[in-house]
Amino acid sequence: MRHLTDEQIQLYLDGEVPCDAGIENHLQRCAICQQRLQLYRAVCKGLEEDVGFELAPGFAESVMARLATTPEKETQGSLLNLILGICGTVFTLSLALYFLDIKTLTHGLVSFAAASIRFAELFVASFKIVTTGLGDNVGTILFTILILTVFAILDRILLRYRGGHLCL
Amino acid sequence: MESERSESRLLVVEVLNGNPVAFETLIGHYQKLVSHVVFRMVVNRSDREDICQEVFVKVYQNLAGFNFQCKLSTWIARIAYNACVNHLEKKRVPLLDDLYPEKNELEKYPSNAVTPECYAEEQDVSVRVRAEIEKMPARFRAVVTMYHLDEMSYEEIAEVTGMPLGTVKSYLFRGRRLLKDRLTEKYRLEDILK
Repeated sequence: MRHLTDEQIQLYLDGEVPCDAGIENHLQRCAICQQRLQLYRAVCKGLEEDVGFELAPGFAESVMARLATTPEKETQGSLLNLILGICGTVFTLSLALYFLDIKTLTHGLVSFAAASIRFAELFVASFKIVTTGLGDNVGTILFTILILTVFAILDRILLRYRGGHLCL
Repeated sequence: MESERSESRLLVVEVLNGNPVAFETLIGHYQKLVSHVVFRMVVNRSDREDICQEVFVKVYQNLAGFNFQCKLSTWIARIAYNACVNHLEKKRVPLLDDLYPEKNELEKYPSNAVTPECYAEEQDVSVRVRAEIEKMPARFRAVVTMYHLDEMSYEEIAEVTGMPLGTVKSYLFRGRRLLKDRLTEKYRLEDILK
């Protein structure tokens, strides 16, 4: 005779297998499974005892007192920070535009962009040389490593986001 | 269920209207739930009450953003659970270890050896169960507590903890199996079942 699994017994105890005649019949006939069921019942009884969770009397008053000393709302603080940040950025940009020579600035930015593009092209060309020099397999491996690294970084970012954001 | 929702909706509206008595009522309604989660997850007694207070401060500060898409109790339990997770992460307490790496590695979570002197004191199986729970990793403790003490469904626990439903079930089943095995290791069967 095959005995019930631990999971089946626990699901039965949780009422998650309603009207399952197979389990009922087995429990009536099998002393071992009956005993296991009773052991689980004892565990559940222990788990349901609501002992040792008492907060100090006057807990609600302590929370109210703490609220009185806590800043009204963190969101208000962050909104204020946002507004101040925007004002600061606008002010700094205005000052910069007033004092800087726009033509020189534009020329500098264009030169910087051109240099960046040249650097990117050089990097891609070097990568191609390396991969063709080492053969197709190495190219595939490097590509796989790149993809895995991107996924690892995304995973890390998402986990961090989840951990931080859920903390209300 | 519906009356519970409308009752909590009224309470939330009252709190948002600035009624301090309503918030005290809300604390009264949910402090048991919060203490269950916090006391089970945080072993250090001196930190527990402080975290419970912190949870209600967060509830107050974020209540305007509560949109009644879930039960108020589920939302509050999620705040409590996240507060505990953050606290334990700060203290570098492992939140999750495998309960059953291998059958013969059970000693990883040491059970208290019961000497004849203390055997009599530990006759109460419930006391023993509670002592064993404290040795389990925090996430297991949380799941087991929410299911048995707060009468949450698997789905509600998944919503509170952000775990997939299958993981919640797995934690619950493995946690209870460990407790059952621990009891049978220490006690005579007739003492457990009496």
